[in-house]
Amino acid sequence: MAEASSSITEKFFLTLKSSDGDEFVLEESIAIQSITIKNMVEDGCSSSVIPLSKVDTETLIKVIEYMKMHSSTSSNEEEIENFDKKFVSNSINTILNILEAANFLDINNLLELCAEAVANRIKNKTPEAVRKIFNITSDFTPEEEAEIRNETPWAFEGNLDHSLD
Amino acid sequence: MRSASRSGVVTISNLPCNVVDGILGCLPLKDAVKTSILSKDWRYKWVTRQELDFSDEFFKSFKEKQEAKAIIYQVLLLHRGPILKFKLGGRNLKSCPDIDHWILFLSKKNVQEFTLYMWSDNKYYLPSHLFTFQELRYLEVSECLFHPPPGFEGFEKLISLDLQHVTFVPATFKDFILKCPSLERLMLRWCTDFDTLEIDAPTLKFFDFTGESKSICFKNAPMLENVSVYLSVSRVLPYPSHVCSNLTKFFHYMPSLKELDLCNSTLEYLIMGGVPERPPTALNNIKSLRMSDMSFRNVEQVSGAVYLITSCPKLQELTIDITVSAGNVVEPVVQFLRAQSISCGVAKLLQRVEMSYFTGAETEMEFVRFILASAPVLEEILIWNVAHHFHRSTQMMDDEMKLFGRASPNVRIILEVFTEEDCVLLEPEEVMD
Repeated sequence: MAEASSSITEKFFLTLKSSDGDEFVLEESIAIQSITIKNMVEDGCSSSVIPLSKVDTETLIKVIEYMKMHSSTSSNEEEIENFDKKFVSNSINTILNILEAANFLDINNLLELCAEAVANRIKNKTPEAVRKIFNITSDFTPEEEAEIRNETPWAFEGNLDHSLD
Repeated sequence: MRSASRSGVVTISNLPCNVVDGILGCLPLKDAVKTSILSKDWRYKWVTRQELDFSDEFFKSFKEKQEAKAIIYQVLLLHRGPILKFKLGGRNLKSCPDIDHWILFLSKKNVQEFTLYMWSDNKYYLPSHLFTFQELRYLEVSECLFHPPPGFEGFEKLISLDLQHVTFVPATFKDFILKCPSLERLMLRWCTDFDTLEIDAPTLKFFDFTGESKSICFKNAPMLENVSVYLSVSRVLPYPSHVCSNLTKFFHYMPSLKELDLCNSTLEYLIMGGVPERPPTALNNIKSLRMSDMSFRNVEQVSGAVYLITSCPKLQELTIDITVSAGNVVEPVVQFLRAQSISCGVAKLLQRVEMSYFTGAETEMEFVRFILASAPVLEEILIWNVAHHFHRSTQMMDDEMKLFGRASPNVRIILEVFTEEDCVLLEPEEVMD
């Protein structure tokens, strides 16, 4: 079909394969927002399926949603803004997965968006809340912890937020 | 290494270092330092932060200036690796020897972007160490004394220089610029007065000047695209031009000029020695022209504006901010503009005109008539003001404009009336800029 049409609007498609083995067909112009994919296309490695061994199906679906919304042709600024707002309200585990995928796929906007979203869940929170949100176990003794607080007491001052949002 | 997502658990702690740095970089310093207590893994993650911002927000969070200073020392002491961006400034910051120490410390940190702003009247003397920052790309300082040491070798990589209320020796400034061979942006606002400001900068693309100078000349600026010059009126007017036209001198060599932004006194300065019959070639590629604080009761300014408009053959966008001046010189301006109206089609490519603070005075209406008659592809004229500053109703103005002859068949005239509240809402945004 692609050969039959010689118009300049001819579309190329790529197939992306998640680590769970699911395949997704995506327009090349949308997929190359990922610098990693763009480089593969330019190196001629895109004729068959592109395996993304580091991205699971659930994450890849989200990343594709994001790339579709952010492709230059389809959406206006307001739509994108609303989409991004909703996008970062995904669960923190989803965001972390997307963050890793965005880093691997080299999609700078998505990386920045998710880094900001993670930062917003650290900002102004008590260390205890941050540990709970991100599932971090403290391996400090109470004495060590006291020492760190003493070292930079100014960082722990003020009205900190205990909530886990 | 096993992929984290394969094993099903991506945690914030096992993200790649650059991603964690990215997250920490989105946090204010205080929150970033706070992560040191999360776990042993996190103990020193923040110390490689490549951006340190000790500006307003930082100073605001401490009651005592002393405490803020002690913290800056501590953070610098704990920090590891390069600091690409460093910002220092705030309402509480006054000239003090501590800043010398910090800058000395930074001289080994490969700083690329350096911002320093003081609020005090006693200006801070920038230490010689600052002039050894070899990686510097952006430099922004205000309220400082700027004296490069005799052995200054130059800022090889400097792209952008922004100086506000900075004192330097005008004679050595030209030399300094020559030692910045990559400079693309130069902003000077209310710095030392110049007698003659001569721009000789082969790579410069953007130039923004507000301040006092008796004369100004773009001697060699082959790449310069965007120029904004706001000369202060007090110094300009007492020095009438001598032998040659200021306009010819000013536009000496800037073949890439696309956007020009002038204030009323710059305009008056330019036309003071008379205007050349053949306009400078620098005007040939201008697409956007802005004139601010223009008085429609000043025939020199109006004739200067018309000269520029008709001398820029590729002009597409014109913006005029009107100022209401004293005096009542109406007739000469109207006469002048009526005499121009015969030159139909001079603004061949003009598409968009904006006139702000339009009052509806006869001279302004006459100018609109001139534009409508001269611009064959004009698409839009946007005219706006605050409601009570219009001298007459928009309906009356609209009716009158409908009678003006139009060179362009498809022009839209938009009259917008703002309330005082709209303007209050508009202003904070402008300040943020």
